[in-house]
Amino acid sequence: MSVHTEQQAPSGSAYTSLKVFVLALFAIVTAIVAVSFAANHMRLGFEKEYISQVNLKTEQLAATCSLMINGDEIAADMTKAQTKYASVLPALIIDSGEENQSRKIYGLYAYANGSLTPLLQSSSTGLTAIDVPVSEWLTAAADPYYLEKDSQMTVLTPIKDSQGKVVGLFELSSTYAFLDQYGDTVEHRVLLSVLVSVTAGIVLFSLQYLIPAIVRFARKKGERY
Amino acid sequence: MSNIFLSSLSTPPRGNKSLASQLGYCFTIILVILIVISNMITSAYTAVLEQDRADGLQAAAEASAVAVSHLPLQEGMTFPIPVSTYKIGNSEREYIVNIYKKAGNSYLRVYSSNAAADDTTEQVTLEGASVEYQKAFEQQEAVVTSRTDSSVSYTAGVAPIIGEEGTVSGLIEIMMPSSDFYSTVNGLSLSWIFTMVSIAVALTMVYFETNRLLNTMLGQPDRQLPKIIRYGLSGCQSIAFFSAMACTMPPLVISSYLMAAPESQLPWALPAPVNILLGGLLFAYGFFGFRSLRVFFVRRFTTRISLIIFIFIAFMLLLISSVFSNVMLYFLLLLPIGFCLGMVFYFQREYRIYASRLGYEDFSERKIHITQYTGYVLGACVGAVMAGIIYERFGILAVSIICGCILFIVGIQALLFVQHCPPSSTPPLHLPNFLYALSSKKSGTFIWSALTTAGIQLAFFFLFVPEFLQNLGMSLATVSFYYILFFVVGIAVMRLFFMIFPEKLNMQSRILISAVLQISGLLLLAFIPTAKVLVVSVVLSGAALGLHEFRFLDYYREMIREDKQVFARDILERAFALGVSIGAAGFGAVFLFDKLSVSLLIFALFLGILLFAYPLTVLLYTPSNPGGHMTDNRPERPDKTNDPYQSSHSTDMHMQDPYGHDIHPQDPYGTGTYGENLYGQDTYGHNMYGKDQKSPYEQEPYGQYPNPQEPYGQYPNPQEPYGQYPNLQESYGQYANPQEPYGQYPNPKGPYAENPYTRYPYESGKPDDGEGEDQ
Repeated sequence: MSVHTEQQAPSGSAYTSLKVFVLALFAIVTAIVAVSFAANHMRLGFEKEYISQVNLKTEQLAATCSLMINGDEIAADMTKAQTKYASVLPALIIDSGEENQSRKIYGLYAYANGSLTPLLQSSSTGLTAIDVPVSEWLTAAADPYYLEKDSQMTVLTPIKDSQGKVVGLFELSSTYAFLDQYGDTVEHRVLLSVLVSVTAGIVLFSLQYLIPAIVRFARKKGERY
Repeated sequence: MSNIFLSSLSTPPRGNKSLASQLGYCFTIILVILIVISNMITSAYTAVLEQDRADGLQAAAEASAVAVSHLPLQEGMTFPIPVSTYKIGNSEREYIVNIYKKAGNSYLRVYSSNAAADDTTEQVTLEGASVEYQKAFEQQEAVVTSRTDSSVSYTAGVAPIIGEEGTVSGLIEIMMPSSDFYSTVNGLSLSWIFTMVSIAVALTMVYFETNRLLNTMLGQPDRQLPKIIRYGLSGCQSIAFFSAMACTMPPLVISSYLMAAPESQLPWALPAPVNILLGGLLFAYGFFGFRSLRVFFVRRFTTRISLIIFIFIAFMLLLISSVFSNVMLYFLLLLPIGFCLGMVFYFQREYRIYASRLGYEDFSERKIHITQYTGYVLGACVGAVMAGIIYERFGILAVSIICGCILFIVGIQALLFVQHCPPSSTPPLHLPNFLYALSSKKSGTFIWSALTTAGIQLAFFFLFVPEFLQNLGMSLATVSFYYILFFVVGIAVMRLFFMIFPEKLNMQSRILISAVLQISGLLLLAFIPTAKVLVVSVVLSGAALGLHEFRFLDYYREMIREDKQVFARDILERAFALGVSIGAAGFGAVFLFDKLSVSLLIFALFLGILLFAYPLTVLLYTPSNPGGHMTDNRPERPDKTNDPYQSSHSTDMHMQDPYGHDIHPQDPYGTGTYGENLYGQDTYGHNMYGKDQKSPYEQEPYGQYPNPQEPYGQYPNPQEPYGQYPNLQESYGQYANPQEPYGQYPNPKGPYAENPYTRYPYESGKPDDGEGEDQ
């Protein structure tokens, strides 16, 4: 026995209104969700790329700076070392000061008897070497210690003297807190423009249904007179 | 002309034209918006990246200048610090360092980290330099500029080298190719373009299905038809679409969720691939396993009520697993979630079986199955996009909530569109019987080659592809692109192919071609495991899986003995589920090894053995066949000695009644056949036919061999043990008779075969008008 396998589309103004409302709402919501995802996906991708770039740069700059710092000078005379590196380190580490840029802060410490003595600090906030337990960065190999938290990447590099004894610590931090704010602004603008364009799109699309109604109405009116 | 223009203005598009314009507009608008915002975001972030790269070049130039400040600038000098590197994507590349000494009006290069340039003995002067170089030298400040050298454009950080006496003696230049400087790995890449197209297509599909759902729900059903098919195939496809959409989401996020889980939460500190393997297996087993439990629930609560119950339970479990965000809890709940979601598909199976028995030409089982399959694939495409979008943007809790909401839509659809669906009643298939069926030479190898491998392919799409793309760093939503590709090739193209060349291929050829396509796809991917090659693999798999057109059941039924045909569906379904489990284990295991190519190659070889088992068996049989080439689509009748499952009666289905007595499936008394006693109870003493239904044996005490005149004549006479039935020991002697191919068994092509209600012995011969008590 053969039957119709498809439903007949219903007609009626109430049905049409409901359908138009549901579908229009659906179109707006899905478009916003899709765009929100796309914006967020791209944002996360770029942020990841940026952070990995900044982290590598910070590691290398910290390595270069630690090569420039002479451990014997720190061990011999802390005051003299403080004066010298106060002029050398700013020449090595450039902070562009741009708003849309990662900021760099650094500190130089003398290490003796299990404690750190600050020699030089480029900022009064954000430097964390004092708070990090010595056992974490002071290892037998004296390798750089990396710390990443709260949109900040910190490299703690032990400084050795000519005997290979650790006599100081160089701290370099890059902060990229601006990324969150920047991303939020970009995403907000994108979503706003999408909302406007989708609404405008639906209005434009509905013109093909509105114009015939207006034309018919105008014709009827013309026939009446 | 103006009249034509005016008339087109005065008639808005209607019907299909209107829908087509809406869909086209929806697709275009979404795609355009996505491309525009991608460009906007790329521009915004590329500026930040470039700024940081410029800063990096400048910093490296400054630091290097300080490092060489105490060294004499002369030919053969060495660079005192390691050459800095920069990152493009995952690769780390070295900057090019050049040191120049002021020589008259030009600059003479005294050092270059570029090995090729450093080898030359000729003196090299700075060429193609802009005024910025002069500025850096004269004003003693670091600058970032660009320069072209040997037709390659570079961006360079330039810093003056200030000697100990405070005078500038030269310049240091840290360069990177401009192509690297302006590049990004996150812009409009090919994979991202494909993802955007997938999103636009998927959202257009959802729009179309929502439109169809509204039309079906608000339209007038054909009240002349039985309740189950009143809403037509559109209702059926709508249920299939939304259920696949919902059920696709949880398995697809398994790999992303477990990869992102903190290591401390992972059970027994196992590496992420092991956890993903376990998670995939648990879900697959829950989704396809526990058949008897499903049958029990469906009979206990009726089909529709059990669906609603399990939708609710699934929603609650999904919520619990995502709210607490605990990996162990997630693991524990994967199996029950899989089971509950599997009930949604089990419901549709019951719908298909019942609706197809009503005898309407347009509701044949194959047609319903193809309609449902189309809905499943489309639903999976959309589900993949939704899972990707929602998981990445809002997390697993949002995925669970959206999945639950879609499941509730499925529940409402089921209540509305399927107003009556009694559970199917097939005899239980015990494990030994199933294993017996698998071990058969011809029909068994057919199961392995066609059904089990199809299950493995399902695991490939739902477990392998998401994890593979995740490992390549792609978005979960990109999975949808591959599903859409599968739909285009496997359904659209293959359907077109069979419309142009109908009935050109018999089942054996289809299985052989399918095997070649599947193995080619997997081998290609094993040799070159990239996202681009995955496109080819998916195309080949799609074509392979589109070849069968759901003819497996009919073909398999023809392969096996008449009395076993009642188990055919269960055997094939279980084989498919077995394939999914094998696929989940196999494709999960390939990620445990460092070399994906090697592990994938090993699994491909294993799959190849399964795929070619049946074609090879057929090939081995062919020479012994005097007719030579087998042209008939129908398989040969089984040989008694060669095929134990098909011929060995003595080792046949071994069943026991509730009292432990052996019963034989061919026992025409029907008392214990299929594990059911005379009172319609199964071996556990439960009523097999629901609360208000009587055992059909009570309705038709003679089972499928009604002989009112000799009601007991069919009982085995001790002296003539097989009564009027063919002597089992000579059963194939009767098959051999071309005029009575099925001996005295009811001819399947006879009147009972025409009546779908007599397919199963306990079903009433009276056609169901579909107006029975709502289930």
